[in-house]
Amino acid sequence: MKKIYSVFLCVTLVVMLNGCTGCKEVNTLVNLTPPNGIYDQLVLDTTFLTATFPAAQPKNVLIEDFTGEKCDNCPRAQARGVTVVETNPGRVSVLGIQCAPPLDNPYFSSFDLRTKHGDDLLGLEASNVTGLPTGDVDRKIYSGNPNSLISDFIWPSTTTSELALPTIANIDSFSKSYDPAGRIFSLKQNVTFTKASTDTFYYSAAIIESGMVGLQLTPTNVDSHFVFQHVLRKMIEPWNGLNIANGPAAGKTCRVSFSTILPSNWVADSCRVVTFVHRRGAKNDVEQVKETTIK
Amino acid sequence: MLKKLIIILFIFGSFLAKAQDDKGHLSGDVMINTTVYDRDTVIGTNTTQYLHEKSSAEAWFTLNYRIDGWSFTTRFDLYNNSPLLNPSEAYTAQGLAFYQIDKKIDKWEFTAGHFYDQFGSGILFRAYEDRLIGIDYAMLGVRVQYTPNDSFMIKAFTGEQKNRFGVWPQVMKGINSEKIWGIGNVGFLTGVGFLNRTLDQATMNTLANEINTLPYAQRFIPMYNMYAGTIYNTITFKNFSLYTEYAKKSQEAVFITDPTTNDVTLQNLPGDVFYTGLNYSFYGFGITLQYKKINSFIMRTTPYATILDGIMDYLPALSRQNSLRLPALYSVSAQAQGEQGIQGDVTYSIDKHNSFDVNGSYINLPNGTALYREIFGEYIKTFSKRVKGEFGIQSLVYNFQVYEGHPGDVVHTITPFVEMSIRLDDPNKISPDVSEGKVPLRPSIRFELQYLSTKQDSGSYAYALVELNLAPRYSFAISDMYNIIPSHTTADKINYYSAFFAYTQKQTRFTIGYAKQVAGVICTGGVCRVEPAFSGVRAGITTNF
Repeated sequence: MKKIYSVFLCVTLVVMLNGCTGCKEVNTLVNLTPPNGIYDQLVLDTTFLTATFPAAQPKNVLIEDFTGEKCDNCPRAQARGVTVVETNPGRVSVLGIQCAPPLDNPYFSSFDLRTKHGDDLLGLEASNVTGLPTGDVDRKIYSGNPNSLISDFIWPSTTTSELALPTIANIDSFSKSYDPAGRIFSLKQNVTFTKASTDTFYYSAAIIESGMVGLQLTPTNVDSHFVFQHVLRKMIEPWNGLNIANGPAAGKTCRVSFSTILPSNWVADSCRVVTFVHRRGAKNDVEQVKETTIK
Repeated sequence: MLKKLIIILFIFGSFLAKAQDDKGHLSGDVMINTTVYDRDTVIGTNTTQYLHEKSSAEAWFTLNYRIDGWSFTTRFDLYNNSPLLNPSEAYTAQGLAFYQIDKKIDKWEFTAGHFYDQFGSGILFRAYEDRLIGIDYAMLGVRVQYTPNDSFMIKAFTGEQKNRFGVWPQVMKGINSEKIWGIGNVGFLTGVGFLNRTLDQATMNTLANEINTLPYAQRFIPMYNMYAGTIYNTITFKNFSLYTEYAKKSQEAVFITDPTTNDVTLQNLPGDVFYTGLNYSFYGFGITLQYKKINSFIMRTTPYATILDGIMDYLPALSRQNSLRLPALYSVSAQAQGEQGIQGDVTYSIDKHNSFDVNGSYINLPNGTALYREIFGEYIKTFSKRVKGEFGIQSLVYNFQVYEGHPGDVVHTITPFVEMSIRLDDPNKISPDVSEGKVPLRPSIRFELQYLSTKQDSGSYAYALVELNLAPRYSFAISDMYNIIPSHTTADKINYYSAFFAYTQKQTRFTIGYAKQVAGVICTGGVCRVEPAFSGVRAGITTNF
């Protein structure tokens, strides 16, 4: 009897400690994987007019830092971007966009930071760019320039000027969730226009990550412990922006949502999402930017 | 239903015929309650019985017959326009709600039909009935128990939990074993239990449909089967006794209520409970210490069971079960969704005439939010053979939003109370032998005075009760609970008065009373539910044979 009891006790213990891993069930009723295109796809959920007009938010600024692992002066531009962000906490977001091959080709022993749309984003600002670093502030074309690309030396002063401007678009997070088991991040935001405009507006979302350590060419050598900051990991489709409003009236609110799965080699704690409202076409000016943590 | 009745009458009849020779034993009990509702808009009586039905009744008639190792039990239940099972409903149904055949053969016991049972303390599984708050968690199925000797037992069952006059469609299976053993002067009672509950396809379809409406990031695959196990042990050494239990359940879909917003979300969570209790007693001194930690140990037949429906286990509350009206006004039950707390109780009898009881409870949510605090002190003085008094004070902190399920400030109360019992006859006088029906009446009177001071909820109350007993036949009581300082200055100072009469003849007791009762949480045995205000007449009769 003692033996029977001991066996029964052991079986119970094993079942409890293992959480009954051998009892797997089949259940196909729940759709865990969405239909193609649902992930990484911006969706305009709804639009409506708010009953009360909110006050305009302060204008935030987006810097697109076009960079590459084999661009020796790019670390300088990254450092300048970091300084601008730290000088204006919560007001400036940087996208470190690997582009312009072969400057963005990874070293053999390093990891690949290139994205599907890095070169597309550079092409949105100018064509046939062969020299890095370069970048833009709010995708604006400043007087005397043929396009929006400007030297990183003038990013700080240009950013300061942009921060002082008003904006007509507010971005507010409506809901956010992160499922660590499935590494699924979902975001829903409201874009509210506080003044009427005749322009057409688009909404873009980018996932960025900081803190990766890898190989980077510098003016003196190849730094094997270079820390990459605010690297663009992914643009949510459409990469060049989802049309949310054509000549919006004051008070018009557009609710946009998306979900994305973070690959296992991205550190969720180091990832952030940068969303921005902008124009597209002859002018690509960014109207407002918001940066949000993943977790 | 008719078939059931015929079969049971046939079986009973067969054995009653046999009983002419074997002398079996027939026993039973009856309870009948009826209520007449008197609408009172001031205290907020607004359920359907006050508007439409105006009266309700409940009845239970249990019959048990034992003979030659057999036991047959059946019970007729009746609910007529009854709010008992769901306070917002007028439920009408009647019929055979319980039937059981039980047979003992040597060291084996076989049960078919309905049965009540529990594993250990009931944390993993408990099938029981508490009709005062309308719960009947009987199982309908089969059970086998093997008891080879006094120190070992193993039992197993399979079945479905009773749901009113039917069953929940989810199947439950369980196995439990206990062994008594020892090392020197140290005694052990060790037990293990295992429970499995399988969701039916209709419930799974509903669940899957609901999950498919969630954002992808929140979706999960719901499990048909929930597995749970428990290990428990009691150690006894001289005057010490230590009970320890750990129970764990596998992941399943459960509805979780946010304690700050009361928003409900569907989640896929495992759960566990750790519970321990230490007892020590020594010459008039007794101490009890308990600790419990619950992490989402929600044990229901289906995630869609609400209020007190479909609960498969019993989680002991870490709070004193007060019997006086105002100290019991803010009673609590264990939060299956999660809580952590301790309770201590010390009793000390100085001599035959003086004793103390001090109790403290400290319960938090897993995130540290205060759920419940109670400090209770009581001095019991026996002044003479005629006069006995109890003097005490209670202070508590009560998380109204969590326990009552709707927004409200945390309640802080201080409640002093006095209870006096006075025998009006001469306790030294020896009653002469009397024939049946001429038992001398022993008069006594009992007073209660209580004052609950709080600035939250509906404010402060004063309570007084006078009860005249003419034992063993008559009992009369009047009481009033007065909302002496309402929390809102515009509110009326409401009287919740009641009058009560009871008449007892041998084992039969008849009661009738008129009462007004404040809305709130009603608890019995550590299980609670929120009940609406009451105004009306209640009458009841109970007996056994």
